[in-house]
Amino acid sequence: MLDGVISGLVSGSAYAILAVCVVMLYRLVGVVNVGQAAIGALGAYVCYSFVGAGLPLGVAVLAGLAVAGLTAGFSGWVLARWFGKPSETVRLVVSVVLLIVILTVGFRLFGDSPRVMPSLLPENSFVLGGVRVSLTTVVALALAILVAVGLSLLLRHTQMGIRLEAMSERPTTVQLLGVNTLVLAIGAWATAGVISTLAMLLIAPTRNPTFETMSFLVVPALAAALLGAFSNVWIAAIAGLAIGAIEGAGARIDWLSSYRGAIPFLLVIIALIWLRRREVWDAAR
Amino acid sequence: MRLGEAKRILTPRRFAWVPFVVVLVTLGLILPVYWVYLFSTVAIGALIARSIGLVTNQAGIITLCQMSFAAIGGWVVSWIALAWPAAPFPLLVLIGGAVAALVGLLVGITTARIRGVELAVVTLGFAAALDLVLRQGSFPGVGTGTPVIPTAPFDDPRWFFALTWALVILLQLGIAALSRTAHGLGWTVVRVSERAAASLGVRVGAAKASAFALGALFAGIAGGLLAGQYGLLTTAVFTPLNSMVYLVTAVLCGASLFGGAVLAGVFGVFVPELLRRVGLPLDVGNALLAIGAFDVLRRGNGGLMEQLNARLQERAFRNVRVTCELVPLPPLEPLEPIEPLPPPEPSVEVAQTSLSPHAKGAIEPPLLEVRGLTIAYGNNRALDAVDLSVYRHEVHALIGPNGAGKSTFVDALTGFLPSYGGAVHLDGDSVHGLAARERARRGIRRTFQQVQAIDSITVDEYLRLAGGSAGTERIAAVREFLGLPGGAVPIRLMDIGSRRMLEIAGALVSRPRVLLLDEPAAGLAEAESFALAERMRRIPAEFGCAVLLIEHDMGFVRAASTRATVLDDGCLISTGPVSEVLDDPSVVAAYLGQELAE
Repeated sequence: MLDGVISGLVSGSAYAILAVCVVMLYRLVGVVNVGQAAIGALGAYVCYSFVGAGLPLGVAVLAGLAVAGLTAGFSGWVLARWFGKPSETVRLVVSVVLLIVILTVGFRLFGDSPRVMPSLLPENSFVLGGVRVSLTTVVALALAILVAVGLSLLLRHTQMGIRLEAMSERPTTVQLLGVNTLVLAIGAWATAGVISTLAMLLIAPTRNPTFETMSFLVVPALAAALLGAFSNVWIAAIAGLAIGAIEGAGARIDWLSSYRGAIPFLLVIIALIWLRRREVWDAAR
Repeated sequence: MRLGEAKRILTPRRFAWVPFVVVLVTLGLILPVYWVYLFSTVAIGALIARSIGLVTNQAGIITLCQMSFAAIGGWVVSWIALAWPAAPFPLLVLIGGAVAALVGLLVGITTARIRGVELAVVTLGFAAALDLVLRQGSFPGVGTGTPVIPTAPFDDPRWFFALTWALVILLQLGIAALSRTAHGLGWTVVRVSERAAASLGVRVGAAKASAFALGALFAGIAGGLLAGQYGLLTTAVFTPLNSMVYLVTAVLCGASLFGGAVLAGVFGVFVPELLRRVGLPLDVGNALLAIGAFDVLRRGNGGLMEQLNARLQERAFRNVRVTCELVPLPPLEPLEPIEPLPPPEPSVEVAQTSLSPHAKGAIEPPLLEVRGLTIAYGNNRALDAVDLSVYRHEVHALIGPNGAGKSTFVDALTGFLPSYGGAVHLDGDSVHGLAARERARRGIRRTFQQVQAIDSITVDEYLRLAGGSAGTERIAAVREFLGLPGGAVPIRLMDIGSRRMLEIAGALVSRPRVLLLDEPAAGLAEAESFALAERMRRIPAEFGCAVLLIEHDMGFVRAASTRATVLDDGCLISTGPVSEVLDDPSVVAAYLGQELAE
């Protein structure tokens, strides 16, 4: 069981990183980005294609990160350019459009068959308290914590973080204060895109996914972000890790293992219904 | 009335059904079987699009799981067809739809308090989880290779075509009729504002749950038909991605309208068909539909058919009055100078009580009695032990500077605050613990400071919705009283001042006992404002209800009301006849600042 939990932490770390990216974009630009994992998948696939074409690993990774960053930055520009005013539900539908377009491009470029992805990290592992822990797990966990810590520091303690949050709440006011909101929005998107690619590169070797299944890894991440009401970085990160751990543990229980992907989601829904039980009314007048 | 013109232009669209059915029958008879098959798929796609039109476009819930409801319908049909092969196919389809509707109802009830993007993510998760479960088990009959074969005559493609389109048309007629009832109009209001809906007496939770359930019914029936068309279903048809593609197609086409739903079905079938014929990969179609939806969202005027409909409406009402027209009324009495206490009607009792308002309770108990109303947010008191009595036959003004707690007071009275201290009695009965909707039904009606623009329904529909159980008998009188435009006028075309008037009209139609108006004159020109004030003071006599009026315009307050209560910083600072209250030094101080008063 503990084995399962530990091995689930790789997925959990990826969910946590994606969830933190989702929270970041929601807090900064007011978009729940359903296409977050698809952007990361695009970067990861570009990286693996380059590795397959015989390029050095470092170059391939950089190319993947660059493609994801550019795609995300462009998406951010489009949303900031045309969807500054509409409600956040409209922006969510726009992110659904983004997901569909990226999936189409992905199918065209990479096909829709699962592919084996070599791990970018050496296959080292060590035994800790009777449980085998792989290097990938450690790196993934460290990256998840780093992203969460980095983002909360950025949001809470820097001038830029304050500007960014203000931008999400009152974009016009911030513009009148002379802040270039477009550049900030594009920067936030591009950063989230690059970080998501790292998450995808970590999780891909453990799954051998198709482009579509990889893009839909956003669902557990969204569930984790939902638990933090799309605003709490820490709850989102911890929930992401927990979802991975529960999936990992579920994999070791025979009658449950096929359905393990659905369990965390059920738990999140129940938690959400409980958390929202007093929200009798929609937004105030 | 000039309304007739608009009707002449609009009604022929009802009879568009006749040529539509004629075209369908002709197509079903003459087209080659392959094309008949494609057009059956169009009908199924139209059903799914219409279900999204209901849930998303009408009720305002972003749904990313309509194909999951279709999967449930398809699963049920496959299962029953396997267990009971002789069962008539249409019956199977209806059972499939009913089961999906039950699941939809369950989803709707459990998520009643989850909204907006959160609810969208919940539907996505539901879709992903169901997809995963289906992938493990696959559809009944797939393992043994036993397909669903529709019972005769529906195994013939032309009969199948007839069945699909008959279901589409019947369901559309049903949902269109339901959308015109008070319950169906509730969906539209819930989309705009749940608070506004509750204050109109709409059951908010029931409206959302029924939208989910009916959407699931449509999708489930579509899924059942798919089972009959494909024979063996695969999970690839019902993925979350396909739900998303259907969502963007429904948004692109404007699937809250029947034409939009059919267009979505046409796009869903013929875009891939066209791509196949020109040798392009089919999934490019998804991207095309998504980019189309992007453009529609960017413009923000609704989907293709909704835009067309809006343009037809604008043309139909080009020469029709779409604003409220308040003709000046003969004054009830000399307006200047205002008497200390002008009685709203020349009855002896009211005249007597007017002379000694503090002894009023002894003669006539107040209709609305508020005692010690206190609302605290932490240590901050928004309202501090406020007493207020509104008598029958009076227009009572509630005034005070911005932030004094006037709107909070109205929120507390109408049941929009989770808790408050003190007591509120309506006609001697406590309303403690009653929900907003129940208070509205008992006759405490309100309007909102910010007009809740319900853009997609007509004046008549709004009045019928607001009237609710009180019926429609008052509509003519209210329409005359406030100079409303014709009943077929879409609210979308009305200006903000006229919409405000319409809100008051809706409240009056519902036969309220006390009407709480939150800044009814805001945004009105001076002449209109004056004419409205004139009407305001006649409301008690003409419609038998008391009025509590929040207003900043002191001219309006003087002209409209008999007594006034002043709040400042959550505390009651003065109450009594209007002219006395407005000349009270402490009231002047609250409004103009302490220094000026001294």
